[in-house]
Amino acid sequence: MTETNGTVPAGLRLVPRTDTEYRMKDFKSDQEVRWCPGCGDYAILAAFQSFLPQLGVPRENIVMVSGIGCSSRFPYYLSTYGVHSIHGRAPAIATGLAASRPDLSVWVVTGDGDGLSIGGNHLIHALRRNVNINVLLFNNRIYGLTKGQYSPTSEPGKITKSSPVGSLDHPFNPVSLALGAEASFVARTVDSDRKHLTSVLRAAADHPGASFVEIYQNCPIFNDDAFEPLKDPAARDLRLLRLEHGEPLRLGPDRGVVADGFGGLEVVDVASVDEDRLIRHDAHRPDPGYAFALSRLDQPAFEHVPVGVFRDVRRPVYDELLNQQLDEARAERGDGDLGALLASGDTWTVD
Amino acid sequence: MRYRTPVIVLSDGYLANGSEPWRLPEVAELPVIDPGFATEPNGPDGEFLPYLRDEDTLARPWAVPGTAGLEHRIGGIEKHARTGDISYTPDNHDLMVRTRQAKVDAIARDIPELEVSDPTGDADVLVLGWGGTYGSITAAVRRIRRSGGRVAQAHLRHLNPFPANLGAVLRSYDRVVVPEINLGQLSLLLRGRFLVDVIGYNKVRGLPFKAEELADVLREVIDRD
Repeated sequence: MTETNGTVPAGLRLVPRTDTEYRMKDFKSDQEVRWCPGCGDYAILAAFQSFLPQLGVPRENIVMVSGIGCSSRFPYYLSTYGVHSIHGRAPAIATGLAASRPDLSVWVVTGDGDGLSIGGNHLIHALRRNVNINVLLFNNRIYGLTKGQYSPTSEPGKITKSSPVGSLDHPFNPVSLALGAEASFVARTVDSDRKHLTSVLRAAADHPGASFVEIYQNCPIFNDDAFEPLKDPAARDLRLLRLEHGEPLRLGPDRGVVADGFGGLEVVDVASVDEDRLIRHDAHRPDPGYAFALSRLDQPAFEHVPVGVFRDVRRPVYDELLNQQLDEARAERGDGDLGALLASGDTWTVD
Repeated sequence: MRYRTPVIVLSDGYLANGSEPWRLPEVAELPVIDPGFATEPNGPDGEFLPYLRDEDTLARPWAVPGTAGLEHRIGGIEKHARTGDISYTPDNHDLMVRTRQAKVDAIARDIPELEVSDPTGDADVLVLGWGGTYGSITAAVRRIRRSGGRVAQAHLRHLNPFPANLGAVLRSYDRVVVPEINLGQLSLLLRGRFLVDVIGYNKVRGLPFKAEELADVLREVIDRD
């Protein structure tokens, strides 16, 4: 929930504040950006750089942790602390950092390959633990860096260099996966919608605990126009289900979302139902069932795609629990004594 | 920590499953581990150069998040030898690979020299081991010496870098026997590094060497003309 303590967002409660009036250029590094021309990563980078001043956090207290892949070059292009780390293991490194340094704003940048294939396990456990990190998963539904093999989010039947007659794999729905992994904050946004992207980043940063943000990102070289149905100005408003807490779920003027009677949701013609049967979005429901049902609405593909914050609930935060546990143990038992601990087992003295 | 390099400690089944009395260290006497984090810029113009190395150890400075003015990025892509910027320059890559090797090689300065046990001082054969074979080798050496034979023994504690005197030790014996519970990994390194034709004795039965078995091997080598 985006509750704030005074002006300090709950997710940044333990991070120092700054009076420095940063501007976007203060977060640009001097490195040459090396993505293909037209890559969706440029738009995400620009949005992120212009968003960071809003955090009100000293630049030195922001850390970007990435794995391997096109998206994982992200930290090089920001003037914060950053590590281009181990393939799939960014959530593990970020977990250690956030747990030991609650004074940092920690961001993980990953992709559908890095985060859902080799790093799938690290991702789900970081979400389950609810470590105070923000995970940005750039989903382009293809392996871009290795030149165009199908990824864990590629659609079945996809023709790629590694699937010449079509991929047989059933893809992950990253939002469903994050919800199933007990994530306390789950959102989706699109690379080309800067305003929406920025609002979702803001909500993720404000959230205490792990935030998971799927960003649909176009790869113009190996999977161009993968999200075109959601970008075409004429059609997108009929397809994008913009999630606003407390507002009815509507797609354009004629369609809305109602309960299907089996615990799921379905899209119907608004004229065919009573207006009050339309579901009002509630991102704060403790049970993830509703958010999961929302995440399954995207069938047939791109007909109705929810974007925005699916779920935003409060749950104990791992790093706060950890530090609290240490403090309490110290208060109760005093500081540890390594020598006494070593000598506490089956030991004896040789004269 | 002094060299800013990962250290891999090789363990083995003997250590994991065996038990023996072991003197506990005095905690107060353990060396203090001080990472010596960077807190100030180190560049001529007040900038932070994360890849500028200590002249002595070739270690890079470590600045941790939260240190204002020292923000930087690290990662697996090759970096410029000074600034830490991404660098695709061939000469820089060559320099960096050589520098990293030189850094590890120089750690030999901090490693104790290899000690050789050669009580009579005139043995022709050296048996060189590493790791969990120490007990079997020592027992075999004791048997040889008890029956009047001459054999020198040394045991490596560091494999990379090797102790600085290893080459000289190897060359000071006519024959070097290297028993290993593998197909000759140390032998391969010794031959490659020092061009010494060591005699490997290798078995991979999932069991330690027997003392008498090794003593027989040593006797056979000692008795060669």
